[in-house]
Amino acid sequence: MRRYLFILYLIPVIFLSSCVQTQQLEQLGIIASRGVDLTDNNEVEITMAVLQFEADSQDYTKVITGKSHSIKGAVDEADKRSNKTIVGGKLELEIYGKSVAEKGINPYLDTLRRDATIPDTMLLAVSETTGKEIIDTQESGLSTNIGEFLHGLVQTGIQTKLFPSVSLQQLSTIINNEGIDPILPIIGLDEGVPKIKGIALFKNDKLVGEVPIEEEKLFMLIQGTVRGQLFEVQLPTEALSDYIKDESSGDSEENFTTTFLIEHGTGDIKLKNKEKLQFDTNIDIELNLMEISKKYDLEKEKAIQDLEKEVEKEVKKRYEKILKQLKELNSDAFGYGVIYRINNKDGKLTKKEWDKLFPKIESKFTVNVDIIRHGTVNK
Amino acid sequence: MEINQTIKPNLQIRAFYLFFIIASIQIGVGIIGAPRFIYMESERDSWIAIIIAFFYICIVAWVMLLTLRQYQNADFFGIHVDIFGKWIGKFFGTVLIIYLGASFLSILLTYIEVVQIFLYHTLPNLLLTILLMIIIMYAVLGGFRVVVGVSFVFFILTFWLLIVLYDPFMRMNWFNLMPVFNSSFTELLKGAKATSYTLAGFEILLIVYPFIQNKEKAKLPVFLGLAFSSLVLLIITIISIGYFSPVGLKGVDWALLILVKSASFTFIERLDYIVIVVWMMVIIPNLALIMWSMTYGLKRLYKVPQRFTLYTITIIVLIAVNFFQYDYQISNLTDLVARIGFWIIYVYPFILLPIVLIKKRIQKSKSGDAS
Amino acid sequence: MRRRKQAATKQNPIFPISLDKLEIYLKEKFENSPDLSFSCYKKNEKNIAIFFIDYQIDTNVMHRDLLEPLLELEDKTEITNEVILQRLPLSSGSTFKTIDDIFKKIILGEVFIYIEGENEAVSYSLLKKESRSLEKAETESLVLGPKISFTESLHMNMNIVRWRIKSTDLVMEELTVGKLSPRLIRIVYIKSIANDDDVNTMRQRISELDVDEVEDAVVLKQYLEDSQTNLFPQFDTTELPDRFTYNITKGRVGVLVENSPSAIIAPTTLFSFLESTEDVYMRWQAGSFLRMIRFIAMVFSILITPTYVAAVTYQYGIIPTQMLITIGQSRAAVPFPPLIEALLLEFLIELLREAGARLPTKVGQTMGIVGGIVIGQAAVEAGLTSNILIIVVAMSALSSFTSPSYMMGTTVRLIRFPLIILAGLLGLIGIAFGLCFLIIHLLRLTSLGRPYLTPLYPLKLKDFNKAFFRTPFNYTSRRAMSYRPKRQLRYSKKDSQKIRDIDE
Repeated sequence: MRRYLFILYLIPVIFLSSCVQTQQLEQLGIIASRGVDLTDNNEVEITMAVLQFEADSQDYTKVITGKSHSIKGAVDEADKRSNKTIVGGKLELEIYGKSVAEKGINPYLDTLRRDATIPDTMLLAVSETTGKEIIDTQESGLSTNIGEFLHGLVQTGIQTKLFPSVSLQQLSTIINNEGIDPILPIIGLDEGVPKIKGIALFKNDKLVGEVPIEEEKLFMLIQGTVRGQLFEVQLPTEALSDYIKDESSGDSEENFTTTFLIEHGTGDIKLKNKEKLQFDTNIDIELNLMEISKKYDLEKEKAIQDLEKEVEKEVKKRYEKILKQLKELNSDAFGYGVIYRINNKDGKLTKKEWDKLFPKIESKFTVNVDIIRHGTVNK
Repeated sequence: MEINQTIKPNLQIRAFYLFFIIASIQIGVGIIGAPRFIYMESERDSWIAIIIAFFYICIVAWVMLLTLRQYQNADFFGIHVDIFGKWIGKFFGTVLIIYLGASFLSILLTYIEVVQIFLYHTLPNLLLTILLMIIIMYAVLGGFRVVVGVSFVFFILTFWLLIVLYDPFMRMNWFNLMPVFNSSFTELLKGAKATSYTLAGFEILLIVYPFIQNKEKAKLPVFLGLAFSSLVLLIITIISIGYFSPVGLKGVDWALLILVKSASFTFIERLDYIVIVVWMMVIIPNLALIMWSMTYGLKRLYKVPQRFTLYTITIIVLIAVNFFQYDYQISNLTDLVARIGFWIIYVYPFILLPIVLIKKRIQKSKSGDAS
Repeated sequence: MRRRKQAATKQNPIFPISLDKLEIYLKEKFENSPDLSFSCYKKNEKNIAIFFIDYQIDTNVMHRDLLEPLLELEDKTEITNEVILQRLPLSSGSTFKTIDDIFKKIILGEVFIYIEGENEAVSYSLLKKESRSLEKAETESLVLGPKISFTESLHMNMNIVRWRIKSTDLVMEELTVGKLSPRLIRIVYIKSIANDDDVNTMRQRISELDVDEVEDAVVLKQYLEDSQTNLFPQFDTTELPDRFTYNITKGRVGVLVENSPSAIIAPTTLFSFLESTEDVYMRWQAGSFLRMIRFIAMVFSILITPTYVAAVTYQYGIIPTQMLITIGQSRAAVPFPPLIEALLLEFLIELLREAGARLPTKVGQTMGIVGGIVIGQAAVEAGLTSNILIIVVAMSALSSFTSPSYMMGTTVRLIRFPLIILAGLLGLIGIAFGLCFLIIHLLRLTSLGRPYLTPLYPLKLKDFNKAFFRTPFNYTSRRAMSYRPKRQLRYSKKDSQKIRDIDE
């Protein structure tokens, strides 16, 4: 009796299981990365690097484009032109064209968040020109899989902290959080090869400005602890001329270059005066000198102290410059608003309030540099 | 119906299994979406609300134990028949069983919805229900010891899921939790109330109590079980607050699953899929315990064989799930269960205890007079 | 030992009878069987008949110790049964009254002497039993420890067990099973340790067994098990005496069956199938490691192919991108869905295994190589399977062979198939369903009335160092509680953990 009951149960299972859609790997076109652009008549154009597998072909990356009024619609449109089912479960990178980013990326983030199959680990970036151009790169020097290559470009950034995090989840958290604005990497083509070229500054979800990629360490220091990163600083020759023992050169250059390894660096923002909107930004860096373009007398303690002082000055100058730019753009990428909010009594701060306040803030940068090592030689 | 039961020794369990029964029945589908509901009420201080809720449920559990102690070996049904007489007592028992049935359905449907959203869009409700009901029937047919075994073994097997939370923990932003202590007391209480659906389930204590071998040791495992599930809820809520933006958290239906979405190991990605699938092992003890309680309760009340009620309820469930197709239906059902559950579990024990105590005192004085 | 068996049957004794009649009677009964040898002698005025089945007895012994002394008795002695029993240089003589007893005994290799006019026939057991000598174990092999295995001879097996457990507490109860062809069975246990309930249950189950015959110990095991519709072996069988005696000394009950080289051990738990005596012979770290490896291998073996099928059919998201490309490329050429692909390859592996087991050893080895390398390679090149799956299936097959019990290994391999089908139909959810079902199934199982999953459930933390890992011997002063032995203590814990001072 019980056995029959069991069989009675199993029959609908077998029948109903045919209702479940299969997604067989070889029948799928798996989007690895895609670029989002707007066409002239305001349609969304998507350029996708798709992984798809054919029996007698070693080439598994294909670039497909689709156009429609929404992202999903465009994917569906591209799907009709492909012999495989296009799916987004392995999406790793989405690149927004510059014009799209300037208009605001929120409409495009919605589907990424709503669709449960899209991985939260996917990364976002902004193109210097259009997303299509980056995805469509046909360069023999690249690895065949353009999607993977692009992902690797940004991903290595996360792993080695080359660039502050830009995954979907982090971006949407920052966009929705009061008192902080997101930043994204800008990818451009350099002799046909994609490359991170700068840091895109956003106001809410709109691209407003750009900082050169060289300043990435400064952003990282504010966001948290930095270890094992190279850091290049230009120092004025004149201020340190006492210790420079370069006989040959005619001291014509104004600056000389030093490169340090950041052994340990932290940043910290404090609210000093709430009414006057005064902040203290403290940066502590421990450096290891890796390269110096002039012969420098490192044996004297004073020499190192002066070097430290110059680096401090330089870093401070760079920070102030960035902050000035941020205030002009009203884009709080450093997150001063968060600090302001948690010092508010009710812990609340609306975006509008902060928009008014942010351009008025003042921050005093205190940079403390320690050069703890200078390699194997002391000249 | 006899009020005090005699349970065969081979059906009895050691008190320490109560920990697993309580912990595994409390941690179910509720906890996946709980952070959002608590956050909507008490915002950044949600974690305080959970601590308040924890102390409250400890008191409730203590009151329940105290009520049960007044009898030799009685359960919810026995006590009610003893106090209110045959008809009203049975009515109360039936209400509890109907409540259990509703929560059974809401757990089942919520899980199915999660699977449909995350894994299979075209999955018919009936298919997953059949699968789950096969497992539950198989477990319940094994009797109480197997049901307890299920909650124990599955608890151990799913315990590791907490490790996955390591990833969102590393990504969370502690600033989101600051400043602390600025929700008002009413907001905190509302937040605590919002946990009621998640932390419900320990009313099963009122039904399994007679099966415990060493009743004098029952207190500690019960409180540890409550503490464990509250702690898990606390951890998940704190991480959610730090991980999502305030606006984001209010809009996220399944916070826990989104939390683990970005976790990955080198050999496996998309941990959220794994968590959903393994979550089946979390809800099966849940469903099996509830199903067993229902069949056992009906046997106590109306002397119907457990096997018969098991098959009947299964058929009812199989038919009922087909009527729930829309998201709002499921959330309405869950709300209803949460509301009824609030009164039955969190308020009613405080009414029951004094009645039992008075009744016992009257009995004592009567018997004192007689002697 | 001299045992006079009283004819308990109610049949009328046919004795006394004349020799001619007896011969006709016997020949009638053994119709079509030319092996009954019936010879008559005359000595001291008495007609003596000696009859036996010639291939069942040791004729040399009969001539030397029975016939010669009998015929060389002094002429004056009157030959009676008593005289024969006293004078012949053979032990174990007995007398029988009814013809039924005689038939029963004659096929068991007894030689009967009947003196005309007597009321009883005298018999001697001169059984010649062909049995192989002790050999190395075939199905269960060990690296360390004794390699000798049980043989088909019950006496030899009992002899081995006795030698391994030299204790007067060792009991070997005798029972018989089978109506058509009865078989001797011994219940082996240590009476001061084994739980009485277990022994009683075992004895009851065996004595209540009503079958015509039992083919082997493994068959008897199936008759005795708690549930027969079940996939998992509930009693352990082994051909290793050391595994057998190891379990007996831990308080379990063993059963030896005549003519069977395997012994039954009960009660067992799921985890005891993954124990090997080798774990005990190793140092405890290595022992624990090996045991855990086996656990992982079992889980791995059950899960890996279904996971592949589920991932490739439904949840491609869980595969890391780099691996996705490799799998995708090799899948692209395969014309079947992953479910069929996996079933095909699993089937192939099972074929190889089965063929390897049936073929003689030398050919079998070649089979392995041919199967493993040639067919696998060819299958990939022909586009029948993806090369990733070959690795997956090979790994899962390999894992299933790590089980010390061949039965358990087979069970594990069998479980895989429904799981693969579930994975193919429903993806990861199907696997989860299958696993849940399996676990509840295990929870419901009992072995000799004892829970199958102990010490996990019911939880006995103190037994964990016997089931899941090993600890140094001074921490294992107790026997496993799971089998509820009468005496738990193996040795004094105090002594074992006494710490000597430095330089003492």
